[in-house]
Amino acid sequence: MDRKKLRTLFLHEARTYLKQCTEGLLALERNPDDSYQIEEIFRRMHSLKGMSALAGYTLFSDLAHAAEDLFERIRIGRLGVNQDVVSTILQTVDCMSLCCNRIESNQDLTNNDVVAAMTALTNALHGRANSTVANGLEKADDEDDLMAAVGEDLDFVQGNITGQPEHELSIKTDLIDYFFEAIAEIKILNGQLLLHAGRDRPDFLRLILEQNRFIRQLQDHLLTIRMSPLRRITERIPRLVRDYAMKLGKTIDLEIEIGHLECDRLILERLRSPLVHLVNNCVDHGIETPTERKKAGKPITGRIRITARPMREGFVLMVEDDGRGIDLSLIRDRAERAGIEVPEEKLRTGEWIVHVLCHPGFSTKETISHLSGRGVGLDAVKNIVEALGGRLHLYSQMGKGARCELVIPTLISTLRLLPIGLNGTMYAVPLTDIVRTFDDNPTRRSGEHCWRTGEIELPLVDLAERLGVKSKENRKAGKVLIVDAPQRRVALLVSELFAPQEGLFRPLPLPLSQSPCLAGSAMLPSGRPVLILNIAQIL
Amino acid sequence: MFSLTDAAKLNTDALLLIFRNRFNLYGLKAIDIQAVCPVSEIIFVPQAPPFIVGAVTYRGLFFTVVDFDALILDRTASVRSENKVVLLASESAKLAIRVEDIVSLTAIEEQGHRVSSQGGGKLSQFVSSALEWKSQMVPILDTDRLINHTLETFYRFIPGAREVR
Repeated sequence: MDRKKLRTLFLHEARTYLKQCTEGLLALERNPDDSYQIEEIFRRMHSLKGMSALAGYTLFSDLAHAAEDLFERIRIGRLGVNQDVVSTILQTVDCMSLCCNRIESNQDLTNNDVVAAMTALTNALHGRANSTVANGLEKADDEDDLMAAVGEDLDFVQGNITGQPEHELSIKTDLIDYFFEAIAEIKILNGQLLLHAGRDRPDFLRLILEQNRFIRQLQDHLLTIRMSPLRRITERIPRLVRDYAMKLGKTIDLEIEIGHLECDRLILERLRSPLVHLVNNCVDHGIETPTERKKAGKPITGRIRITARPMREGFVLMVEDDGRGIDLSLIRDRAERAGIEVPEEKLRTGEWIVHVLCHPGFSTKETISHLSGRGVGLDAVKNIVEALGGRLHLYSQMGKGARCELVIPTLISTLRLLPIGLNGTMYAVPLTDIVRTFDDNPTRRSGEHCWRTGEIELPLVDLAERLGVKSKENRKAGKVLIVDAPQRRVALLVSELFAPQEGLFRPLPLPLSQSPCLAGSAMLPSGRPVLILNIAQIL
Repeated sequence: MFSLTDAAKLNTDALLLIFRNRFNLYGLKAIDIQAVCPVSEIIFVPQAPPFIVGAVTYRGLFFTVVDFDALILDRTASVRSENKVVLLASESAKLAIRVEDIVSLTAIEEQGHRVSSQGGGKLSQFVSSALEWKSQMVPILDTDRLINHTLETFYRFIPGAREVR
């Protein structure tokens, strides 16, 4: 085996083992007598020692050897498991993960890379006091370091091809994208063949339709390859919560219930940092210190819960805590003073909190400290979620806790779209943006720029006019779309509405990808490409 | 439509596509050209700079269509049904330019190929050399410069557009 292949294989296996070691160590900390975990971690360290020696990474192997020795002492009962020991091994695992990153970027490992972890292991082996807890916690200060250390690898697609969840297959994302492009082209060619076949060649037509069926099946299977389990983005959260809570002197129970939900790997990659951010906020600003909790008559141990449940168009990911909550009256007061207007419907739905906290004119610095943590970066989370075609909701009860909901479409490889006509040109709007549609009815109009739905009056925007789409065929606007823009609900006047369809999403090339009013493009089942409008930006 | 990517047998390094816009001739190296298409449906791109005619699709992908005259003369783009669209590719991006007419596909070696700067003004920044063709000097456009300039102008036009990736 050549050196490059050996390195790739080593890195894949080492990272898998290190991830398993982290999970095992956290479980062992909760249950120090768990002999199964002790054996498993010992075995993983032994394997890491062997494979790193084989691949020629001596310093890595020495580190694994020392960790194996430490676990040998635990196995034979000469060393007990406590928080300090777990922290020492976690520090070693972090160090090994960082070594993997160096190896991946073709950098040589030096003594400096491993000296801190090796010293901590040696101290623990000789029963000397260690500063490993502090060392480990320093890492928690730097979110990126911790992310790198825990090293989730979304480039590994689980089980979809072999059907055996325990086996992983590495597939390059570029290759999947290439398959998508190729299938899209085959589909277009198939559509052209279909047009040329005509009714006078039924045998030919039958073959083309058969071919079409296989292309659809192939496309469906390809879509499943892009899917990854949602649990992948929560794998590092227990470690994050543990280290951060220890640093802040808080005790926190973390509960994760996300079942077997899957979503597009691209979405997973983008959801990683918002999730970490929300959990950090819960630990840092949501959950009170044990003293504060005792005073408030709450259990000393705080609780953070991460759950997910499927929805019609995707799933909702929730992060909630039983901490101090957000002082809504304070936010409302600040918003009023800052002159931030909150639309009526947002007040009713509770969306006003996100609206205000993410408003550019709302300064969180002026508010009390526990609130500042809620505001910082929440707009970034909102932007990421909205860029995925999703929504962010925030709910809170003072003194009882807060809940953040991320409503996300499952797939961005395929999008449910509503094709619309604007003066003879077809565009598409994601269905997730649309509340409902109407025929343009003069009785619902209230003046030129207002549309009534029930008791509510909405601003009416002529979309073709707003976008500057000139009339090709002198068609009049005849349909109305009710959409949820970030700051308000709006009625959009368009020329035509077509049946909702599932489109194969394709990012736009430069420079179109930089156009704020376009969200991308999609190929409709007919093979027709359409530009997808970014309604939030347009409005 | 003909696709130069399919014409592997031709030595595209040595081929030049000559097109006409408003009585002026220009050359493009065939190696930079993906395809030449008739103007079918050009889709309007909202809130785009004035030199952007719109977008066309080729093999399911969207290409931004630039009106070359509008780009160098800073005027609003126009398009007619008899026009053609030349799809260009560089390392940084792919885009299409609208041309009035394709005049010739000629081999560079057979002609007197001179390296010189052609004219002045805005055009000169897109010209890499010039070719003497049928007693006329034809400026040969530098595809990379043309695409990069288009991208930069596009980003300048759109507030909040991100950096060139």
